[in-house]
Amino acid sequence: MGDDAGGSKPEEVDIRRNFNYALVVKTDMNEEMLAECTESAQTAIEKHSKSNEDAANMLKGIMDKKFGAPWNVIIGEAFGFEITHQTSNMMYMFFGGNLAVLVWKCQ
Amino acid sequence: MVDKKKGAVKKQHQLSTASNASIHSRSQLIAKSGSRLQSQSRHRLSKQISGNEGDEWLQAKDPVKPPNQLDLPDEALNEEITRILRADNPNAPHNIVRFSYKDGAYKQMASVDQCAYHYVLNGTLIHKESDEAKRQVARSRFKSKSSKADVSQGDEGNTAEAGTSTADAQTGDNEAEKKEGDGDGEGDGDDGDGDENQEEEEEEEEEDEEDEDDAGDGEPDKPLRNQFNFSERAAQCFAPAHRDRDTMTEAPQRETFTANATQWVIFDAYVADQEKQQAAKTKRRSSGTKPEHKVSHALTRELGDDGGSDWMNAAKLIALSTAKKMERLVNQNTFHDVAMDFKYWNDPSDQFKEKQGSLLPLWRFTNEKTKRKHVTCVRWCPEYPDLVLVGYGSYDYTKQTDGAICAYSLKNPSYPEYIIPVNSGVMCIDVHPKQSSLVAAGMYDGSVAVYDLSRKANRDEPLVRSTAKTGKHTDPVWSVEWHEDDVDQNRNFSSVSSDGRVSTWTMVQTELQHTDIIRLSYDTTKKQPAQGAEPLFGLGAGTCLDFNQHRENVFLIGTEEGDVHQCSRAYTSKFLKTFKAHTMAVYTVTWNPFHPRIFASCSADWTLKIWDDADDSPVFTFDLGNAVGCVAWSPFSPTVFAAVTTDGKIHVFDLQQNKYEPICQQQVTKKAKLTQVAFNKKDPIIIVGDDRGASSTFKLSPNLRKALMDKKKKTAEELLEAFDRILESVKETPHTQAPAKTPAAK
Repeated sequence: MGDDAGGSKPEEVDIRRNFNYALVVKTDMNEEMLAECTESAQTAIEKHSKSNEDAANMLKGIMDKKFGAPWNVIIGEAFGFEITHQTSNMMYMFFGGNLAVLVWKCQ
Repeated sequence: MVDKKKGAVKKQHQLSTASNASIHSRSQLIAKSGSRLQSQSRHRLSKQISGNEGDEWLQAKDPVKPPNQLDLPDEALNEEITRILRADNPNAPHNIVRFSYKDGAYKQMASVDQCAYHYVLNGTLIHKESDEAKRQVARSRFKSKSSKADVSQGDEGNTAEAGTSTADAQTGDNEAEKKEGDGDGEGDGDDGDGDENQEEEEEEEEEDEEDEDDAGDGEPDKPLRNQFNFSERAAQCFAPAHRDRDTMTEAPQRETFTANATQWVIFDAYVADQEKQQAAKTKRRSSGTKPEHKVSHALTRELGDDGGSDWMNAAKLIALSTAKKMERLVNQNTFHDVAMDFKYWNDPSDQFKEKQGSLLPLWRFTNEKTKRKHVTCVRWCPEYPDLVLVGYGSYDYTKQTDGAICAYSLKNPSYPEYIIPVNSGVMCIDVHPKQSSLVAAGMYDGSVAVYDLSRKANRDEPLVRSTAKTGKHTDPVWSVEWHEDDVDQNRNFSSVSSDGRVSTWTMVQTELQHTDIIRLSYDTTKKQPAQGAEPLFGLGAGTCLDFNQHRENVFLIGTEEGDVHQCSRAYTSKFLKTFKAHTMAVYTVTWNPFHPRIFASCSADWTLKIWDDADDSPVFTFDLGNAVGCVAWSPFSPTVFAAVTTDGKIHVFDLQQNKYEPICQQQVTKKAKLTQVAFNKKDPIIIVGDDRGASSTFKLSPNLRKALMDKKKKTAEELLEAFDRILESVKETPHTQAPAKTPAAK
């Protein structure tokens, strides 16, 4: 879709350029944790821009270190899921206009 | 030997009694241990056993003896040898002399080694850098090399090894010998040598074997050990039993969340967010002016609040003043007759009584808060003639209470206008002549304070109060008196205390500064101490003070010894004059308000004296039959004065009418002692205070205030002239002292 849009409608490309920020869709984290999490996700994705797997691994490592194991991270362009998470330990956000990041903790 | 013994024991067992059996079992025990001493005792025991009756048939026992054993008699064997264990070594030499290079002479060693080694066990490990270790390392290397290089060369290696090992063995033997030598004391002396030799041989063999084993292993990293007394030990311990323990905790709360992440969803979410942001921006722009409104609101509210509080205060004040007025109205109704008396009543009988007057009781001021206290001071306010200030404290040394200053108005006798509680007894007060809201007070604790009655807030707090730092008196302050403001327009007043200091206090802003005017010296000439002994106290105790209104700086001090000193502020080192006035403490001295040289003094010695400061002796002496608490001159005539005595009487004198007796002597209380008296400046009334916390006002009857009643008002000069004439007449005829009031005396 991106390719099509980019080719036919230059306006849409412009719109997409604005989508360079993290958009938290759903979360029940406290503010402190959320800020930390989004920031870590951003750095992880920007560092491993070619491999979503590496980015997810990195983000999981950071979260485990900061808030205690075990965290689960999914980063991808399209996926469906149904997860069970511990309350106030879940975040679902979009990033960069084409990535969905799901972070949750469950033990 | 043991077997034999056992056999004997068995046989014995079959035949002997139970007691014998016990002996045998003992001998059995002994037999197990192999010491020489015990073998001796064993021998003895067997003898004993054989000596028993019916044992002859037993096989004769010949105990095996070492060939060189001493044959000791039984006595010697039975002899008890006492040995004492001591901490010091008895065998240690105690006279070792060594050459001291330092001193160049032989010196006896003070400390002797008291250590005796009975058992030494060397460790199994040797230090890596010791010769022994190096030798071992070299040997092991050599062995490994040789074993690798050629098997046939092994013989040579072994021989070399044997050489070293034997050398090692010899050192080892030395150690072993040492051990056994220690053991010799207990073990058999005879067998010792043979065993040693045997053991040496065995050890050598063993060590050779060990060496060979080491060589065979050929492990380079094996820990280096002292090979001669190395032993390995192992022990099996009980393994602690394991136990499982479980607890169930509540599982953390969980939630499920389901979503599908696709590019479309992500795109839509971003677009929606962008729109939201746009909307928020426009909103913010439109609401940009709001904060200013808020500020203005806040301002108005603040103003409103301030206004409200002012209004409240005003309302309070109005309510208070209304209540005050109402109170006065009620009191006017209640005390209407008293007010009428005060204004209009003149004792009609005075017209018929020549030179006699009376006092009409008017209002009586009491207050629940000051009921038990003594009235220590009464002062009319110079500005408001209806206002009187009363100081409360206690004259009783043993029953000191806290004090108070109350201001009563004649318009409201039921309750004081002001009550100022003071934590120490108030002994004296004085109202400032110009600014009548300023009240100086002297306390029992020696401090002086100034209160401002006009203050709305904190009226109970003194403006200034002297502390120990700012030089307060160390004894009760008995009198304070305001002065004119000094050159710097600072308020100042003087105080006198029984610590002998007369001080002037200056109020500089919020501070109180003091200067000692004079220190009362103890008069040694009056009370001659026996044989010229030094008096106990260096300072006299001042009890009262009065400044002359006509002559600046001149003042009088009454003392506890009964003297009255005339002093000047200009010459602080000396008294101008000393009057031997009384034989007991002077309670009050007061200058005549008209005459510059005349003053009155009263004392606990029952007398009231009128003095001319030019003369050493009093002009008039009146004996009032009781301690005179206070004397006060009237403001309207130089010849009228009043005194109060402790029996509750008021004595009013008019020297113009009667030079010898009071023209009025009236009992006003039955139980209370009167302490203070003061004339009102404007109205013909006096106020007296008693020691029950009450102060009463009395109206002077017409005869007592002739000067005021005369239709043709005399000027002050005329009055003074008349007074002078009286004084002259008294002085011309000496010894015209008033006869003592004998009937009044008890």
